[in-house]
Amino acid sequence: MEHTFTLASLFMIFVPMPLLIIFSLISVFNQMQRDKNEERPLLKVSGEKTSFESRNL
Amino acid sequence: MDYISLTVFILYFVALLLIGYMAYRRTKDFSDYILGGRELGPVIGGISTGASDMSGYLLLGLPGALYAGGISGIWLPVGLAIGAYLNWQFVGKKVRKYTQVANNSETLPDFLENRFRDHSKSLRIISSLFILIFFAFYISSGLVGGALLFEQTFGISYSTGLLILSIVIIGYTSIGGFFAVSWTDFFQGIIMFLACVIVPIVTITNLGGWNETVSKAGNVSLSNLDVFSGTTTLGIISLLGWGLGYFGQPHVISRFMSMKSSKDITIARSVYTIWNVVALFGAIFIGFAGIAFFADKPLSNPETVFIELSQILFNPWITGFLLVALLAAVMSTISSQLLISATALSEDLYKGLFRKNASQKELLWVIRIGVIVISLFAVIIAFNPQSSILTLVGYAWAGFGAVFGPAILAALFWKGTTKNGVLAGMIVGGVTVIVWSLLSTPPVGADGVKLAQSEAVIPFYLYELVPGFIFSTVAVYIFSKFGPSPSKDMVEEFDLVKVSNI
Repeated sequence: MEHTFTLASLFMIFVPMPLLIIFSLISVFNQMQRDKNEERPLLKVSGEKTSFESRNL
Repeated sequence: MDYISLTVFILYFVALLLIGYMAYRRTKDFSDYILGGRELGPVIGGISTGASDMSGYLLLGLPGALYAGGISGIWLPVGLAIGAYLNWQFVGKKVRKYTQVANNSETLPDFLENRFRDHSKSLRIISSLFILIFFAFYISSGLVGGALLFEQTFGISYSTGLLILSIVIIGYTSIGGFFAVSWTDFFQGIIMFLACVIVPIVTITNLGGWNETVSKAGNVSLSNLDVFSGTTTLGIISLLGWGLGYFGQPHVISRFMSMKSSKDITIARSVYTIWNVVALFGAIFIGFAGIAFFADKPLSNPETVFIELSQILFNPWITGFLLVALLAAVMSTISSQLLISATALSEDLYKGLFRKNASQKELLWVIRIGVIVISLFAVIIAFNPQSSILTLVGYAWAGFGAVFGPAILAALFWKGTTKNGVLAGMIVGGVTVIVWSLLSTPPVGADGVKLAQSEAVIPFYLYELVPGFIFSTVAVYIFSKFGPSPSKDMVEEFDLVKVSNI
């Protein structure tokens, strides 16, 4: 007979630890987005307007 | 004697000493020696933290627990992975920023003193002594594990193995300081990672695949497939509770302090988490696959499952590499702890208490001598592996977690924390861990066998870190709330850290 893990065991194997990897990658992605947004005002130097400034003009 | 493994071991030692020499060339001053001048990048930072954090437990204790008890052994690694992640998430960035803002603190005792304007030096002295005492036993225990590995692998005497191991670790740690420790930890972390990936994949493939492995382990006993087998609610809380220990581990906190910037900590957290989760999964499945592999001829010592699989399934060169991984796990932890202990001796006690104006050259000499003195102390204890003093290591993880964990969290996140609160929290945490552990250990009966848990003063088992952490937190709160309030500049500094972009 083929034995297999109980449902709770499968949950413990495949959910908590892999989720940590996903969370950590999401936070790296979010930081990259934030850094990108912070760099945007630099566009002013070349005479372009950010979308925020365009909306407020 | 296994000459191929011996060759691999010698090559590995030479590589470590070479890295130590390169680090020596890079070290310019005392700050470089203890904290790498806060120049650690995210990849080396992430992986080296993983390697220094995971000791022989990764390749001996954890696979052994899974081999002996089946998948129910997964609770502890899950608790550790979650605790480590939360530590990086909440403590990492804040520690990096706060330690720089608080008078550029370079050690944990230094930070506590600066954060709470403690002119009495009591926080510095108590925290340094705690670090020195517990790490000395931790280091001894690691040396015992490494020397036993030498004895089993090459048939050389335990004392010769102990001496070889100690000379190599003292060599690269004392000459190269922080750079040597973090670079060798990175190198060793890669080796450990590869071992944790290779061994379970080859074992499971050898057994005919995933389904076959699971089924064979189930044939040995169905309880191997049930995560709740042999567990209790308090038992599960205890196992998950191990993760709380991360908040107070000085060698992990010091890695956070050494990162180039707080932004790098986000990337380092990802690198660390991937390394940690994959390594833990590898260790889990080494033990689990071992159940199926040794189904017909069970191992007498479950903790040897990694060593046995390495010797049976691979050619001698790869076996040598895999045994080096085991040594790497032990050595990377010892060197980090050794450096933190020597730093406590030189920076926190020698400079902090006696020689405030000591020159860089003098401090470098003192810390190098400190590395040697602490190592010698640890070696002397390790010469007798049966020594009852080594049982103190059992308190170390819980001790650090309960003494420093709530104190650090409160110092970083609660403006109202005071020196009295932290001092009380540290003492209550430490005392609780020791008293709880003693009271929950059942007495030994007339026949010399330990009685049932219900015979102990505390008639149920709960890992001492859990009550230690809770009581310490309560003590920090009560003594901060009812003692003198934090000064104005402490509050201003707290607010400054919030907006800091270091």
